Amino acid sequence: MEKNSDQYIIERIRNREDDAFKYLQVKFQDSIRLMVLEMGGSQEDAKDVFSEGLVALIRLVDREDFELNCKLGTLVYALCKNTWMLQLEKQAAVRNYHARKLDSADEQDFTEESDQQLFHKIFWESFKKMDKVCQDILGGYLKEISPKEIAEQMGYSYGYVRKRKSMCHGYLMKLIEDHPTYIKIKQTELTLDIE
Amino acid sequence: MERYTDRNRRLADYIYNDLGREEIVEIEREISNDPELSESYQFNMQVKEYLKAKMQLEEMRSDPRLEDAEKLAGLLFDPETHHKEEEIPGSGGPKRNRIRKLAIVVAVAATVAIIVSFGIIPSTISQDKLFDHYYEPYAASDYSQRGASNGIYSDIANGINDYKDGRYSQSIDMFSALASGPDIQPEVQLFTALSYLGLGQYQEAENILEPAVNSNNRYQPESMWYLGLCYLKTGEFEKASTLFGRLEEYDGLYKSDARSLRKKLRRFNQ
Repeated sequence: MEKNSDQYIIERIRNREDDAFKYLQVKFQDSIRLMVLEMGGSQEDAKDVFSEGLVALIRLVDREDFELNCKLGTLVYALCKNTWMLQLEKQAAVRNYHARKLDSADEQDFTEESDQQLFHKIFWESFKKMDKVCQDILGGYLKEISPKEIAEQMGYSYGYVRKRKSMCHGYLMKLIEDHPTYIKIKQTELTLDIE
Repeated sequence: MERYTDRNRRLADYIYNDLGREEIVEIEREISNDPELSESYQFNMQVKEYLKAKMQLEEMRSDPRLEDAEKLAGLLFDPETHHKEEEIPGSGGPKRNRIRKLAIVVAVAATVAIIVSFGIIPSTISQDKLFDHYYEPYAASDYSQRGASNGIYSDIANGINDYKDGRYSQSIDMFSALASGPDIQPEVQLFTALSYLGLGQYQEAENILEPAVNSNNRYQPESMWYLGLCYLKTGEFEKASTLFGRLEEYDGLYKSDARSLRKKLRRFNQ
């Protein structure tokens, strides 16, 4: 069985090997956190959802009838999404009993805080603005595909892929810095610093 | 790409693990000695880590086998079997304790990783705060009084009551099972959208509310208000601002909140 293949990791989970959980954490935690944030949750929620999702995965692979018929990452995603949906329903039920907050109290907080989701939107929009070659090369690196493999897939030389990757990343950072919302945030921060 | 420099190239190579050992030592020394470069490095890393997570998430969402994964996951999350599935088949006390310990280890590790990976971007989300500040579930009146004897109206009343009690999934199921005739379509649309909103599925809510805001139905102000909040949550600030501007024209419940929210949105609309 190939090391770090999905089936290998499942076996390690069944045997309660710690390295399997570390692997899952390194591999999937960031994307699950992002899913929770995009679906209205907080960092704290994301942490809880990932932990509960892994406990659910343990329960699932312990079943005698369990058979992995999809990617392990997609299964982790589905388990965590279900966990978060259940959590949302509980939160919503509680929220219904709370009275609405009065206006004005949070006004100051709003103007003084930057916005993580706003940054994420800027990053993603800037990435999507790049040409396809840049998206594919950076995308390959981000998926941890080796530069050699990327070069083979795209019909370029290894050296060209390495060089183009750096240029594309530089271009991406410039797109981010030139993004109107990014400029606005920076201006706001500057004003607050002066005050 | 005019600002592309050799140092930026080496920084990109470093970030994407494309440097030799000697070059790594050199750039790490530069980063530790130069606060500006250090800040740039951290920001570059945040961009990279975000994009990495985002691409993986999009891959999971568009995986053709997602349905299979959801079915597998559903074995544990079916509400009727959920309680039973809390027990781990064939396991005793020590195994459960081990799982609890593992969960704690995972939770602690997750916390550390979150703190590390979000060191520089402020953790508070002002757009979320704004949303939380203004969003409250729609205060529906008791619909059952309108026609409890009629099957459809009784179902609508049940769906609305599910919504009012925060049982959003049930509410969606109830409304999706109803044939949406013209006389009940406004209720079906509004409460289905509101239930999606309650579940945090903003895109689904938007898809339903967008046609409703231009349809002149009896819930037009409510549709505008909640669609505006969806846009706020999904970062479509200009659209949100336009809708709140339209709402200011209505002398109703949402006029004052719409004006106040639109003012606050100006920051995002630049």
